[in-house]
Amino acid sequence: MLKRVHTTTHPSPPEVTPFAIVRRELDERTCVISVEGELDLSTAPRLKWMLVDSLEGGSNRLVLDLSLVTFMDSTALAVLVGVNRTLDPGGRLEIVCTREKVLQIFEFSGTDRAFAIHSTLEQALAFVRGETAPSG
Amino acid sequence: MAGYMPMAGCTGEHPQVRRRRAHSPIALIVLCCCAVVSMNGPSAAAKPDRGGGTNEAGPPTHQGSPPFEKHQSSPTPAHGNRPEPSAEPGSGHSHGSGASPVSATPPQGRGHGHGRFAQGGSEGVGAGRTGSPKEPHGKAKETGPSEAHGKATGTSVGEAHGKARGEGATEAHGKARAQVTAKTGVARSAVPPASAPTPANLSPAPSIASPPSNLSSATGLSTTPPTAAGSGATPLAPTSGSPGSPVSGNGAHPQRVRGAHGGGSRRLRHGTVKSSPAGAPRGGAGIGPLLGLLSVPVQAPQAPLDRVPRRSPSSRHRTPSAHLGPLVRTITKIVGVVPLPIRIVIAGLLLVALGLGLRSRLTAVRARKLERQRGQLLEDVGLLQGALLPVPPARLGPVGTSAAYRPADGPGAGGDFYDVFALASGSLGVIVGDVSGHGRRALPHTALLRFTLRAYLEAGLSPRETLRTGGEVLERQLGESFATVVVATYQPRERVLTYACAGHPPPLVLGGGSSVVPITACSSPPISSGMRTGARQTVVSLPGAALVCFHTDGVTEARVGSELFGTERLERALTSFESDPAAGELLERVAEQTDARPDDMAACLLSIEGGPDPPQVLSEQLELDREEAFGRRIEQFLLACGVGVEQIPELVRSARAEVERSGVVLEAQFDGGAPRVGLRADNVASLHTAHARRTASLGAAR
Repeated sequence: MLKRVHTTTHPSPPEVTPFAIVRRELDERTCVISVEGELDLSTAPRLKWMLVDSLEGGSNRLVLDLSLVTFMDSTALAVLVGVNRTLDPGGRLEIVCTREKVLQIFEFSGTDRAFAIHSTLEQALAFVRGETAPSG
Repeated sequence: MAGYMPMAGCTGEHPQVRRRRAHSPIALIVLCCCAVVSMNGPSAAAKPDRGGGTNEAGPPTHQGSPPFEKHQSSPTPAHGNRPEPSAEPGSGHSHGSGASPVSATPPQGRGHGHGRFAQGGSEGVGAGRTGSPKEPHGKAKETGPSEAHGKATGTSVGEAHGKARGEGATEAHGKARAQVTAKTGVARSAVPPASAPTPANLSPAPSIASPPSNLSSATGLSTTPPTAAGSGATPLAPTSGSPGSPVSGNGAHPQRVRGAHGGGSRRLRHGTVKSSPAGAPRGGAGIGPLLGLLSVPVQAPQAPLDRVPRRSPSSRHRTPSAHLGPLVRTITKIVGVVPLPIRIVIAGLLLVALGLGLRSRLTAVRARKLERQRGQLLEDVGLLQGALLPVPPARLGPVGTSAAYRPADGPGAGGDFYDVFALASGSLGVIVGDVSGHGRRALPHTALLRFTLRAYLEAGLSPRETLRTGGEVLERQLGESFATVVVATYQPRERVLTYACAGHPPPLVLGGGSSVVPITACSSPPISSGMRTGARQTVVSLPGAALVCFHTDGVTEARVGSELFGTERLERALTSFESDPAAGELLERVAEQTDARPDDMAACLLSIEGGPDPPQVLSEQLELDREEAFGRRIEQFLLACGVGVEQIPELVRSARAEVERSGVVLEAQFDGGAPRVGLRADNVASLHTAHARRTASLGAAR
């Protein structure tokens, strides 16, 4: 069941993809956050709030879809690292990312260990759901 | 004049008088306020006089009417009327009689005026008579005051009184007028001479009393002031003749002067004219009470009044206003339409506006001071940060070194750190890092990171081990923050550069026309990120001349339009200099080429001399723990190093077997062809062991 929970839109110049962040709750513990546009000093806080809200709302499995992110810098990375540290042991933060430049940032930062990077949303969801089953 | 409140004791006021009264107060208020705003000086003198208080005390009767005070400010021609300020300090007399009210102080009657003033002002009127201060303004006093006046001044005063008396209400009138004028007229009418003296008079109350002539002349204004001055308020009152109604004295004066009384006033004015010069205080007297009531420094306006009397008597009620002339008339006309309560309100609002203006000025001054302090504090923060950022020596052995730091443009300033130093073994150590979170919160962490990591390097740990051990130690202390760091050592004898990154961009290594392409697979995470770090290490050989550029992500993430500066542009910037640049020059070039720099920029450059041979990556190392060994990490690493796919499964199995026993370091060595992959046990049980191992490896001449 997909229900649209929260949307924020950030105005930006016409030639740049407007920043948008959408959260969908898949079930009581999993939610998917899709981000579009640029993740930089001004928009990274919105991502942080969204993640924090989701965690406080009871979800501990977060799938972050960055497929449509055109640009990301270290401030967004800091947000992800910070959120990752606050996850409880059963929590997971999965990233869906395909853009080369964004992938490089994850690679440089060595944070690909903390949250697995997937190529598609389906893979990420499967991975997350796979974790829920205690089969290991 | 709706709302006009006749002064106590006034009876049978002449309608003209009344009108004038109505007009003059407002004009006085406006003039007062203008005077206050424009000229702040002379009032001081007047104030003390008013302070005397006689005005306040006395003139309940008259004081009620603010317009009266206005008279004060304006040269009350009434002064002329007053001739005997002393006579009626309180009652309007002061101005009309001029002399009388003021003279209250002088026992003769002038003095009384003052005394009376205090009491209730009106008495002053009679005071002039020396003793009958209590007498009602108009009644007996008239004679009294006039007499007093006459005596006091002799000519002018008496005239004034005479006029007053003769004219109509004569006495009462005169007084009433005096009062009225005192209120209004005083300021305006013949007062000019009085006005000037008034301020002066206000203070030196006694002085007025003394010169009878002064009294007479000043009468309207000056005489009273001195007496009134004593009381502070009195100066005003006495002049007017009635403390309560300083206005009265003054007011009446002007009015009379103006022509209500016609001749009488003229003469009075004359008197005042004379008096004014002589009795500087006189003017004050008349005005004093008014001023006192207004409690504004109205002296200024009086000055013109003083001058006025000099002119021909014909223009008596014009003389005071002649200077201000059209302005006063206009204001008077406008003001005349306004009823009394509104005038009071307007006066009050004007005062409030003044007060607010002063307040905003004080606030502006304070704001400027705070701005200066803020500038100083920012400077101090900059100084402190500069103290934490060392200046490396220009050369460390055969290597040229330089480091530079450029804080962010905006609120993200603070957080970058670096260090370049010599190690005991003759090697060179480099640390460049960036603490997340900026500004003041990051500063203490930068120092902690720099010195802790430096200590481990100096103790002999390899860059990777430094990060791993330091990371464990520092994780507790960094708390919410984390830090990206690159730690490196350069051995000049072997010409080998070893570096390890924790969430940090690898250094650019340029030489021989090419640059090293780092393998960033399986990079270690930042320190204090919740994950183990210090697993990856790279070893690079620099056989020829080379330029090694350590930097923070603020350099490569500076914005050029909507793009990032990036490593390609950085490489181009490095090679754009004729000779190896210094770090400062590099950062300046980057700043020129970028539009925005939201993060700190720090750079550390090693300039190594040599031949044309390009740098070579000797090995890439990855330390594995149990968790990593059973993930996909080994595979990712080996693939990134260019290891053949067919070799991977075997290597993975070996690695996993090894990791069960102890830590494992997976090393891919590059000799020019396919990489050779080796596994070795990694055991950093103690710093001693690490040091021994290091010394041995140095001797191995890689």
